[in-house]
Amino acid sequence: MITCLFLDDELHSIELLEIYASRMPQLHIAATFTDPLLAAEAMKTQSFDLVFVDQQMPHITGIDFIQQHRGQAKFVLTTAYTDLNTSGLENDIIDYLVKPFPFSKFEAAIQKAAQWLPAKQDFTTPL
Amino acid sequence: MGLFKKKYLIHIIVWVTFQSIGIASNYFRLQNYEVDLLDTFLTVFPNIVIFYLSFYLTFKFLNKQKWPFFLAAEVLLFIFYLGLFYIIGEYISPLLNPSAEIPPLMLTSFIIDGLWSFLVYSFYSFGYYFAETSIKKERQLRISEEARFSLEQQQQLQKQENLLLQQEKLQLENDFLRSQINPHTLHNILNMLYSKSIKADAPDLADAIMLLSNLMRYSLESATDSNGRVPLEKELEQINNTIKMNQLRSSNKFHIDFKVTGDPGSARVIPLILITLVENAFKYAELNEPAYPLQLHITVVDTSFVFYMHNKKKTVVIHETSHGIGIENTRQRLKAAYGNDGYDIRITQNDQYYTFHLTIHDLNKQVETIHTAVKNELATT
Repeated sequence: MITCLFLDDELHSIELLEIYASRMPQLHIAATFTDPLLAAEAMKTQSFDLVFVDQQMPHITGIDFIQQHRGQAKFVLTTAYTDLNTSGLENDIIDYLVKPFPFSKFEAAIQKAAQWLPAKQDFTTPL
Repeated sequence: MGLFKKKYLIHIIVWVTFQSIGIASNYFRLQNYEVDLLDTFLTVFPNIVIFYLSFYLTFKFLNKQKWPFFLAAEVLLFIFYLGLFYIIGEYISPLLNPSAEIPPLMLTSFIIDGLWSFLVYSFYSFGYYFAETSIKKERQLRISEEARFSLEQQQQLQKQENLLLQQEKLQLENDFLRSQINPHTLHNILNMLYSKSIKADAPDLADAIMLLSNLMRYSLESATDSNGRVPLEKELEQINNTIKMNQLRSSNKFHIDFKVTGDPGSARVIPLILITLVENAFKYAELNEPAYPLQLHITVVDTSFVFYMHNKKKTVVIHETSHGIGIENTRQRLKAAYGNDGYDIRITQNDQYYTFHLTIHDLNKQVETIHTAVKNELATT
């Protein structure tokens, strides 16, 4: 099971991610946010394996958000930009999905993530 | 002013030197020769006069190919010359030097000697005239050559600058257009539409939106390398997308025969050339007759590239608003990228059919761009 957090200021993007995630049983959507501050709060108290972050958000960019939470999870950046500078975050950002993206791209990102994420130890798995 | 004075000075020096040599020669050759400067001057003076007058006549008549005038003037000049000698010998010389012994005048020898020295000085004069005019002509030729060369250079530079300006203008217009339709806004909107269509379980609609998004992204922000090229594979993918989009519009009723032979591999090409051609085909080709599909055949062998397009013409072409990217623009872009002989376009057509053949001989070929050429030129001047 891969525990996910979806962060995007536009609700329809989150809805799309939820539809895609529902087609993959190994994904568990633990939380979704349209507000980056609430997402940051959640990341203090909960642990996630994979965080989908939108780049263009009010108050904070996706890249800055990832900077602030390095090491806490792996990230997938979703964005309408094709020319982002993500240097220095190669170990944190697993994939980069250019909007709009079809299910196949989402699926590929999850498969990549599954390879990157360490085999989970039992005590971290919620009962 | 300085030039004129210098010229006169040179003439005086030459005459003095010339006559000095004559005097020296007489002095050593003849016994009892006494140097008489006044006598020498009086003898030489008519010669100098003849030299310059003859020069003037040559300039006046010979220069303009007026032979009869020239000959008549020379004869008159000769008579004037004899007269001058006569006056000097009979009247001026005795006046200036009363003690000198004046030999009696012998008419025949007077005329023969006079003719001889007249001819000698006239020839000197011709020689001087031709030498001077040929030097002058050569100098003028050189100056005009230099002027023409620098003019040509300037025109060339001007032309290149104009091209550069035009390019910059186009770039500005393009940038303006891009800022008008902010690609990020556009893609965010398309993304929203895409999400909604997936949510509404309308996969056809979702596919169409995705296609549109891909097409827009490619033409608005196709990322070129430093040589302005994109992977050929991307360009082919966009042809596919363009075809798919048109098929969606026609509910899959168009008859299109699209074929790629050979492996595009890592080949690169300048962007939007093929798309433009294919889009044109959708405007002008008859697509509804199964017997006459639109043929789009692409062949890649190593780095050579062939694009073949054949179609039946539409009987009625609905003039859509042109985006101004015609075949001429395609030609210019190909020329700029691959050089005049780096590509080949052959079009054959009649009332019914249209065939377009584009060959790029070597996709890897690089031509120095106008931008860099002009910049180098401007940097050196």
